[in-house]
Amino acid sequence: METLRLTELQPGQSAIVVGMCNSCRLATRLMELGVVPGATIEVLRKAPFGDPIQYRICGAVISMRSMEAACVKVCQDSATPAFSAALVAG
Amino acid sequence: MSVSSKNNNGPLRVALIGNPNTGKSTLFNALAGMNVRTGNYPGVTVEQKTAKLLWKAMSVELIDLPGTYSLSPRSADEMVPVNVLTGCDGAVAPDVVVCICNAAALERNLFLFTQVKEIGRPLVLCLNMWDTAQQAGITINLSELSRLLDVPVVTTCAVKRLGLVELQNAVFKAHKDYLAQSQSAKEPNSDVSVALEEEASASSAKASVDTIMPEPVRTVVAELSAWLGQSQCEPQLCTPFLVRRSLLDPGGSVEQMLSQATQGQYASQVALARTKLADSNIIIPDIEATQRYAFIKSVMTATTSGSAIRGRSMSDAIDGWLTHRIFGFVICMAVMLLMFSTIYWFSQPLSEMVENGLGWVSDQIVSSMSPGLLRSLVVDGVVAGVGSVLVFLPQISLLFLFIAVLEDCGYMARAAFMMDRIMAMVGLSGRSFVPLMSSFACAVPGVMATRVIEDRRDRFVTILIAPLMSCSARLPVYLLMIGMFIPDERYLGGLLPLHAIVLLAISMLGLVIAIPTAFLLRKTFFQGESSAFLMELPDYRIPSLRVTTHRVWDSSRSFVENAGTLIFATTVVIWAIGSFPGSHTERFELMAQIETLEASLADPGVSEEVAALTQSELDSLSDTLNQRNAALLENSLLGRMGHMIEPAVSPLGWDWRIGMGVIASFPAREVIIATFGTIFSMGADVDEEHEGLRGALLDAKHADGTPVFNLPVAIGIMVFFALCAQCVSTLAVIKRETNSWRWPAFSFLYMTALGWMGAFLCFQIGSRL
Repeated sequence: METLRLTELQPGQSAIVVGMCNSCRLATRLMELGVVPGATIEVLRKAPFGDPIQYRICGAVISMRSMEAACVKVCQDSATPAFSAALVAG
Repeated sequence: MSVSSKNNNGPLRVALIGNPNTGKSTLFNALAGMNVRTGNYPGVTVEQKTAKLLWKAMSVELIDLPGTYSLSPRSADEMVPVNVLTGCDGAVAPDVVVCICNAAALERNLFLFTQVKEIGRPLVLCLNMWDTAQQAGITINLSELSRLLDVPVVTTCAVKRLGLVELQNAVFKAHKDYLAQSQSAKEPNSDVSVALEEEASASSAKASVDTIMPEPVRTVVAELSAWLGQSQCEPQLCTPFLVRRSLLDPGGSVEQMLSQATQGQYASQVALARTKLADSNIIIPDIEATQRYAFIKSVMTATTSGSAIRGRSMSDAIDGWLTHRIFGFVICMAVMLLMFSTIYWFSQPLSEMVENGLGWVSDQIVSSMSPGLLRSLVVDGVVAGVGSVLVFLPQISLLFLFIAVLEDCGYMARAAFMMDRIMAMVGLSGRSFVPLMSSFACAVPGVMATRVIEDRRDRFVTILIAPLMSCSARLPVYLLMIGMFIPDERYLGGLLPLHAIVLLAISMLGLVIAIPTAFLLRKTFFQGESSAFLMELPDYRIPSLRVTTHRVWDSSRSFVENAGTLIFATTVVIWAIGSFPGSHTERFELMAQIETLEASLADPGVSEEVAALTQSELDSLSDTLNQRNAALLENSLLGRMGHMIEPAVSPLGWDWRIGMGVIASFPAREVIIATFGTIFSMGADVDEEHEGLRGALLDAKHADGTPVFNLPVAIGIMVFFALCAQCVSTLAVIKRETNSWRWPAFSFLYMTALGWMGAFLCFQIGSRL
């Protein structure tokens, strides 16, 4: 299963969040907004200068810069990433 | 829990917490009516809104906490909700907490709820925007939700004031149940052992709202709580809630607080605990969001059906136009243009009405009192001081009307979204766009508008560069200098006057200087990575009249109460140092004579000859008075200050009179015109078009006989005024918004230095050309 960066998706496409790279300083904030492994995220549109980008996540619309979005790893396969399921069982 | 309980005599303290865009403030205003009191939490820039109310003869204090997505504080500002809810850091914990969620976006909103639930205070879950959710086809099984989340649930629609009574009842019931519960517990155990029992009993039950975190985390929390309980730590810090927060937010404010309380020992304990959890494959901080959202998902599946797609698709369609690559910008510019022209067209006459009203008051005082010190104080000090505050009110209320409407309907977030890329170039975010644009009208409302910026560093940088935007009060100075010294040349067949080009250039100067300034501030005082721009774009909705009027009222009142007093005081002080020391007896006698003559002239029965005679006598008396006033001003403290700073301003080609004018214009930039009028014996009632004043300025000579004013000096004065923070109103508002004297002092110093350097370069280079 191929993982992509969130920024590689085009407006209109949606994908499933796999995780975040360790260097992302916004990881916690993003996760609070629902960007957690297993969540569906949809690219809505880009701002006129191409940045930031609007996403639909967890029933709300958020905007983030591509610098941060590049840290979010997604996959377009519909299967839920295995390790998040393991965590839920905790 | 060791949270200090309320004393029985005080009001019932009810705190409101929720995500941004849940209508929390609307709900607060609907509950509080006109009893809102705004202030600042001590030591931080977070606005504190409280209201003292009577609910069914019960005295209630309502506290509105700042909107937040989580209780994971990373700064002093973000620590405020945690401190207030837990009763740490001098706060008294609320008796009941109301967690407000947007019913149409419940999944995301419940994240904060699950954190608030763990504090253990009596809690009510309030699903606001209930009507929107229903219209969007969302159905929620409320009793099942209440059971799964172990909390009373009420639904409200704050904009329409629906469900408020039910919410009040739920708050009372939650409080009563809590009191009954704590009474039935006969022998209260020590806090930590209760907590331990709670954690232990919870671990055996199946996943519920109290056992969201997996078993190893709960064990670790219990261990750390026990460790803290045995340390010399204050009891209100040893709660499982704070321990859990410190464990789950590495490097966060709660961890720092607990470490400080235990002389740093706690930090190593937590680090140890985290390593232990990592061994059982539990990664912090990821575990928190993953577990909470997994729990929320199970609750949502069991209670909710339908989705908000209908409402969203409409918002989506609007977004397609409003953030469109071309139309988006056109619309944004049109909105800004509308905003500015409205403020310009409506605030101008309103401000004039204020001025006329105060002029009328002055006239009444003048006609009912004979000339004297008291009258001078009342007219030139007190009334002028009140005027310098009130004259801002029309533009502040109008700007905030616009900001409230744009914010409430959801457009503000889109403007920020579109402009972010441009603002990011100087290290700011799109949120700074509207406050900076507003500052072109006046920095006072502009600085107040920075409240929409969530990031503290962004907000401070924006506040510090906002006064560099060319405001309308600088215009009289520009017009005077341009009219006098810039040749009236026209280009392109008379279509493009040189005056307009210079005016545009000098108005743009501040903006151009603001770019490197913002950049430097980001690199020095507000270091750190460029601010992130993580922003929610709320659904479009029709703005509520009540919300907007509330915001306009709030901002106007806060300006008058906080900044107004300071502006008023400065005006009186400048009056005093411009009047003393000096004997005013002769001046007042002259004024009395003039007023008698004027009265006799006004008599319709007076013959033409007598009138002409009286008029010539009046003119000579006025001249004497103007000269007397000039002498008085020169010998006053203000005049002496002008002389004193002359060495500092002579490199700019200025003499003491210009220096004094600059000091005198501290209450308002345009005052420099009146000061020039007085010191050049033209009287204070001059404006920038006054021929006599222009002539007097052109005739002014240095001690060695060279003219004071020439082109390089005039340009220097304009540049100085373009860059300096010679405006007490702006500084007072910066003090109010940053909650510290440091930043207004800093603004004043750095901008005066910039202005001085600009004027210095203009004069030194200009005179050598």
